[in-house]
Amino acid sequence: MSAWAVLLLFGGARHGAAQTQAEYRARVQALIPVWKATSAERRAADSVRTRALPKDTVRVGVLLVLADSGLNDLARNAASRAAQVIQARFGESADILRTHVFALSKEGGASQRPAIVGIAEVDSSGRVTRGQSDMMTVDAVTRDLENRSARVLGERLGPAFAKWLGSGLADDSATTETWIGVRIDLVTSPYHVARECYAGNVSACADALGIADENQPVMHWYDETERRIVAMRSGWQIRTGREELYRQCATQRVAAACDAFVNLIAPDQIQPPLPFPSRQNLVQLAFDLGGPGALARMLAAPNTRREQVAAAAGISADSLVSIWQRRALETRAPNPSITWGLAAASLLWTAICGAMALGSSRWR
Amino acid sequence: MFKAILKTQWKWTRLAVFLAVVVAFTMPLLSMNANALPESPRTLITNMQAWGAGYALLAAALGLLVAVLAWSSDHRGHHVYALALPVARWRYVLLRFGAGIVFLLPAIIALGISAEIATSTHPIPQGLHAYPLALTVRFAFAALVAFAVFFAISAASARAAGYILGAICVVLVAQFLTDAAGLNWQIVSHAVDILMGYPGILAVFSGRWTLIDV
Repeated sequence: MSAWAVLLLFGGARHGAAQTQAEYRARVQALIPVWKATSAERRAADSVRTRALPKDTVRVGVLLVLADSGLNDLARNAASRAAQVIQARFGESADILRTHVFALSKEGGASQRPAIVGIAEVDSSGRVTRGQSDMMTVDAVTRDLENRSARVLGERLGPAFAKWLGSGLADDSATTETWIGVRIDLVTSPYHVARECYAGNVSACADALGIADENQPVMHWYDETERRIVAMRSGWQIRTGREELYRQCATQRVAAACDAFVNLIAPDQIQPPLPFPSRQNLVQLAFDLGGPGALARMLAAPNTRREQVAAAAGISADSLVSIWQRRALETRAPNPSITWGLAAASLLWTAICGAMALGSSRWR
Repeated sequence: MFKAILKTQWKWTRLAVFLAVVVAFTMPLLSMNANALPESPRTLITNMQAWGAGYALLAAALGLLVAVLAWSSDHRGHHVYALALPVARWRYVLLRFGAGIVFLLPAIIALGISAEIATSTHPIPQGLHAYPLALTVRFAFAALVAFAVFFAISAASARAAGYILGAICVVLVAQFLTDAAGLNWQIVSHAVDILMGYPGILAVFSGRWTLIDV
């Protein structure tokens, strides 16, 4: 007897004393069709959900992909490339992915959009989640699998770390372009700790990145003027009922009011002075320095960002930040001015083109 | 002789030059006005780099128009006027080339003046610098190279122009065939790298075309 029937019987029995056996039977008989209909709907829903999952299984390394028939080769090639990248970057910790299921399915009618596939993940209850469309190429699917895998691994570091990082873990090293971006963030930051970091103060860099191990970090990240800006930017959600405090901070510029207001904001709602790309860059550097065991050490580290990134890099947090700062300041964007060499090359090409025009046989 | 060539060539080119002057003068002012209240200095740099593509395109368009218009009358008249002149062919080509370079100057000067006005009348966030002169110099060299390339193509015979087009087609077809064969050969990408990378012919068009930078 199913749980539904038992529930119905007990439910009916609760008021059984006040009814005759015939009445009771009649009530149960009346409820049976309802139960049958509900059970049928549930079976149909489960069946549809099962049918929606791709049938073929492709297992390559740590990656498990369910693929629609016809997409096996694509799934295998992409998973093979993605698994290599993920395992090289995250080492044994990539084994976490063995229990995670990805799904690759044909999107829409094959004749309508043959170049598009659907990529998704399957949760523990068999439900398809995080679905999106992508190009039906090995490169695109590989990139998607890599990003999803790195995100799944990054989620193991906890929601606070994920919120601080702003994205999944990167499966590659920072490029010159991203280092240039970090330098621009440092140079152009309006916040005093970032400016001090640019001037060479390593502990200010840790503050600016949000990994300084301090009580009340907001007080270290932002000075009095900056805290007022933070209060005005981040505090609008909690203004209700605290209008007077907000007014004192926003219009009368009372520092104590601003500090009191900032302290009311949930700590995870206040971001460190340097933006996400700089923090992602720090983690990428930590993984570069730490090698394939970086994530395993990170997962085993105490639950503070400072300890986590230091464990990933395999060196102290101060040393890591010092290397990060040096790299960020050394990587300069090309100056907008053109070099003498480029100017000379341009003149040379102009002269060559001019000489070619002189030698043209057009009206010879 | 140069004066006469300059005068006649000006008649064909002046509309294009005038348009280029207007656009060149407008762009720096518009770019600064559009970013008068940037979200952050980083946003300002990003937006300025987006405008940079416009400067590069303007330089290319200016070079193209001045070069093509320099030869348009001769092409229409089947070079009879040029043949009738008592000058050597090389000298005639040189005069046309020189006149074309002179016609690049108004747009370059307009850009320089406008960039200087735009950067001196708008506050620039701390940590950033204005590069009006650098931008103008880059624009000048880019316009010069574009003019020289299109001048040579325009002066060339149909056969020579065909060779150039043919070379471009060969690269594209080779890329298509290698893609179809499943080979991951980045032929077009390599060709572009050769042209755009130092000391390639179009190297001046790559790099940072930005009025405001770190």
